[in-house]
Amino acid sequence: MRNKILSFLLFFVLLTGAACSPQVAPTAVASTAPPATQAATVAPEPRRLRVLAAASLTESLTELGQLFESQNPGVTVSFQFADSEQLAGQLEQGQAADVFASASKKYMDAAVAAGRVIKYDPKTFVSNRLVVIFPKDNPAGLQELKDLAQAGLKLNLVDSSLPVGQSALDFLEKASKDEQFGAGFSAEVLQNVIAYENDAQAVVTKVSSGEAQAGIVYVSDLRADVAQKIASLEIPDSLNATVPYPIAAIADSQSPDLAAAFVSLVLSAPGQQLLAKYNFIPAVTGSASSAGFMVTDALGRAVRFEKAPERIVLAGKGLFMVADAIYLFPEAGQRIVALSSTNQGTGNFIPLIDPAFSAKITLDSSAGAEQIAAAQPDCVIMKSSNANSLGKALEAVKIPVVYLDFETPEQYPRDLKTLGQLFQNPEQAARLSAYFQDKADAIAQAVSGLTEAQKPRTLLLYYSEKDGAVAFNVPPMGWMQTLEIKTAGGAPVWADANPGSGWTKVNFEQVAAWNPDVIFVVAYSSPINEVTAMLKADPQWKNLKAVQENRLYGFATDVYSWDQPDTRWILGLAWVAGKLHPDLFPDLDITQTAQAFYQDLYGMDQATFQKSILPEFKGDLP
Amino acid sequence: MLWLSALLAVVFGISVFLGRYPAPGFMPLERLFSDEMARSLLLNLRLPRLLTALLLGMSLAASGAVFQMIFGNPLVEPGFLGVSQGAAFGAAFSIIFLSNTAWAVQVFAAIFACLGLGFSYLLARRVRYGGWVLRLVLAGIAVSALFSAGVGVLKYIADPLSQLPEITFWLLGSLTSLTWPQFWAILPAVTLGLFVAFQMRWRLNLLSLSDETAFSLGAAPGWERTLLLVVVVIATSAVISVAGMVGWIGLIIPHIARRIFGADARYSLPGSMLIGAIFAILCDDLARVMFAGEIPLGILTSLIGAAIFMLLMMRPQVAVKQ
Amino acid sequence: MRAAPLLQFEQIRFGYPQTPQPVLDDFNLEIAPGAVTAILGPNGAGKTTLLHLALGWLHPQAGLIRLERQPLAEYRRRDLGQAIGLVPQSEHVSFEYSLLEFVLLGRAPYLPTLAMPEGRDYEIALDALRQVGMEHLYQRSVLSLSGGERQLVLIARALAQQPRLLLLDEPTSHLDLGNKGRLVRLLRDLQAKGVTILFTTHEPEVAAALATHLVLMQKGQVLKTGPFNEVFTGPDLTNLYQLPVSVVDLEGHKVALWT
Repeated sequence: MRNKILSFLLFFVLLTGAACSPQVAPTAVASTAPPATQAATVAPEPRRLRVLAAASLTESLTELGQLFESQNPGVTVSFQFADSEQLAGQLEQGQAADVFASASKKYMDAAVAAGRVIKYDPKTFVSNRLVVIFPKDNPAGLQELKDLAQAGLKLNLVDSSLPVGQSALDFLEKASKDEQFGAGFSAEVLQNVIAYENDAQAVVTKVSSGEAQAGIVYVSDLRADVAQKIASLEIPDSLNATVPYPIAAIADSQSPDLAAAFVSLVLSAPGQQLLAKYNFIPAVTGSASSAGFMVTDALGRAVRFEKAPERIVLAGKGLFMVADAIYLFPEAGQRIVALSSTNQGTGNFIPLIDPAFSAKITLDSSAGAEQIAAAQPDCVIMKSSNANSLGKALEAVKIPVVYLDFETPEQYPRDLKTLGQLFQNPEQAARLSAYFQDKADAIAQAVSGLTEAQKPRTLLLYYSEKDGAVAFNVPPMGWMQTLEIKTAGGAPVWADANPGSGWTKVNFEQVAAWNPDVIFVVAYSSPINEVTAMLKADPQWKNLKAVQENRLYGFATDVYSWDQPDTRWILGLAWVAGKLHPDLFPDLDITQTAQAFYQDLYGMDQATFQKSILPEFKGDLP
Repeated sequence: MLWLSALLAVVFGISVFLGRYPAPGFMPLERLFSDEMARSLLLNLRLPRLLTALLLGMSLAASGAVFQMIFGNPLVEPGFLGVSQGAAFGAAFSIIFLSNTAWAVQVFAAIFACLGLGFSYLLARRVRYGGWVLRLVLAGIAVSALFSAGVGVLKYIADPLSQLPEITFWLLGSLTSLTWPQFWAILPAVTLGLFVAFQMRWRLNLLSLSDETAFSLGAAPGWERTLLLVVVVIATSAVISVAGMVGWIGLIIPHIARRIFGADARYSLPGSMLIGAIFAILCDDLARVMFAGEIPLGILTSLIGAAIFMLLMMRPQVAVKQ
Repeated sequence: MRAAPLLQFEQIRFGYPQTPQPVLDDFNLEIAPGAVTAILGPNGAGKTTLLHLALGWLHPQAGLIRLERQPLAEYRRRDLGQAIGLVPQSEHVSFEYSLLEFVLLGRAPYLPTLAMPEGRDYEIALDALRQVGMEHLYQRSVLSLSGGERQLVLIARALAQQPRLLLLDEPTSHLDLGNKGRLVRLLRDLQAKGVTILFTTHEPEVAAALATHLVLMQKGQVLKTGPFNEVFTGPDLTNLYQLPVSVVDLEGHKVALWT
């Protein structure tokens, strides 16, 4: 009796001890010990990063380059500052480079057109605006913008072949349409021009020396050394041109990881603050303030980050499809320190696009909160299905968790937006959303004229050999697989067969009863080509219309099958459309489409594609 | 009994420092003072998990002991009489159709567990074949099968992304990702069950006798048994609602406890609770520390429990008498 | 004046739900305090049912059973447990209780629901074991006993219960001659202490050795009842068992002989 009371007492002592002592130790020691699992630091090889940047970025990017070098020991950043137009020309001619920062979208577009920059890659990192400058002693007595038109004013402008010169002319044009200034304003002002300079600094110098009484330049052209000698007049937003400066990694960069890291730094909060110091207007929302930012995730939770997460862990079950979407953001590779398995059984895609993959911690997909904590994450990303188990545990130890779904086409823009917030790269999110939307719309558009009768009766079967038993399964209506077939102009025959919300088994009798026009077969863990060969040889299956007409296809697969809600769904959609309606897509070259996909979204060059992806082509692919 | 309590305290104390952070194995004590994350993990994950493992072991072993005594049969445990399957069905039902909150899941697990038990009992009384023990076991198997079919149907209609993982988890049993709210949620039910069973432990001996004998000794066998069964079923379904179906503890531990402390439930019941707690904590230690991915606790308890059971069965003293 | 009966059965009817025929019908019987009453009757006469009714475990469908003039149904369960003890013919035990633990259960009616037995209860239980001659085996497991030993343990448990009315269901069925003798002496001692005893038996000589009163039961009714000597006669036993039985007097002991 007494013994038992003792043991109960002990139990409750343990309990209450646990409940009332969250502060076990003084928290004075702030520094966190380095994680034991972190890879040992190796002496870095000397490497070089070549940045081509607009002249207006000279001071700011030089300082940023020093910051980058200090963060990446062994790396030297060499800049070439010049006119954006000139730099774009050099790129067109094939000059080797890693990053291009342009003062104008026009010249970035030129670089894209030349194939040196991937279409969806450029991001606005700052913007610039015009300002009217005059000497501090104001010899012309300028009080307001209208005074630019007063006769005899010595005005200095930049030549209109340069972005700043063109912007100044644009401003005058706009002002002339404003009745406050009057229609003759532009002409009157231009009469005052004493000279068109070949760069903005010349204007700044002439104004500071008093040689000119006024000038129009970008705010970023105001150097610190002349600031005391110059005063300025603001140009209102309605008349001003907010000029976005795009930046992008060069597609064929020899150091894609460094290039991506440099772009990340430019877009990061410290980078944006540094640029703001040079009078640029930060382009990345939230990064100008150091007070942190919010991310809204797939579960509608608002997650607050004090600073951009630098140690991201991708965890939980069902990761690989989400991981592929996360890697659509060039910053991801640099910031991810650990990830759970992304191998669906037949290969792993991430090592192909992440050169630093081997240095990352690989977690088991059922790894618990402790192992994830051992990677010292400042953010964990996982599928929302993990929220009630692993997510809860991580939140209990105050590790921020961001949930994603990426299950249906509708969820793509939403979850991309979440990632855009997380990586503070909303432009990339918008660009990616547009990419998926455009491609899907194009296909939907092409098949929109079809009548129901013209849509082939289509069956998608998942061949599984789980537990030693062969089974054929159909997906539920809401799944990506079904949506792909519908969008590509097919009529799913199994609409009534799957009332559940996961794969449902069907038997051959049912397949024969449907006798569809087209059959797509997927097999995630078996070799798809063997499966289709076996089915086509099967005497029973030979009686099916689809087999007789040779329209039983193994679903296109590279590292992963294209039917899934992975980023490849957009490829899967194009491929299904081509199979269902070859007449509507006569020019479809699926290999070329795939290569463009990997190039545009993952920056994979052609050689890597040839070496790593093409040999993985399975199913009905060329 | 004192040494067993001490052993439990030691096992508990060691387990608190055992885990996979910062590296698999023991966390050095000084780490607690230097590493915020270590402290947070220990206080917010390991402690509630260990305490829940302790409650789990105590409840399952105690209810196993109570079941065995009340049905006068050393071979029964909640899992054999439709209780565990009923609880799993109730929980799955709640997750899919009603609410995934801890309370709803627990209440529905308890309701269906009691239904499972009651149904098994009524069925056993109506079966016209074999002795009472055989009838009970047969009825339990039938009712369990009924509920697991029900769970199968629920799995079929569950959302594979959000609900199915939750339900699948029931069938394996695991304490992964357990946090304080879940611990607090089950504490009242478990305390109630353990307290009532503990207080009535001598009475349990009386209730293990035949009805008329128990009656002749001044007991009310009908309602006293029902009371005890209901409170331990509530405790069991509470732990099942957070830990899933963890098997074999209820069968094996009371055997071991009786071997050490004798049949008298005055000693064997608290003994079962203590041994059950130690067993559950050790199994959970293995589950969370041994491999990078967690092994479901239910698999470990079944593996180790079944092995011990075979050993016990081969020992001559444990004659299973009809 | 005749003492008030300890136990009265008044026009009892009782049947089990599964069988249409009642086991007892219009059954009347009075047991005097201090009497040792043997119930003789063929198998299926309703003897065990009678004991279970006397215990209060079974409830008659008609009629009234009184213990010390108060209807049995009005007793609190605990009081009934203190008043009436039952020694079943045999008892299934699933767990390896020691003899002492097992006999201690006889103290249950005296203890509150949540209480544990204490020192005095242990003394009484040990004393009960001593009375059946098994004190030295108190640590043995009940399951290790032979049938006869187990019957003695059941009796010891009833002794620990210290009832005013002791019901025994064929108490000698598993006992050897020596133990039968021990039991007879034990029950005589109890009778001397004022305990009223009601037992069923199939052995006329056990009845003859112990009983002061006799009840002959047949098909749920009292065939004949009264002081032992008046009822234990050749014609009555012949009538009861439908078999020629003669009773001879042998040195003051009545012996039933059958052929």
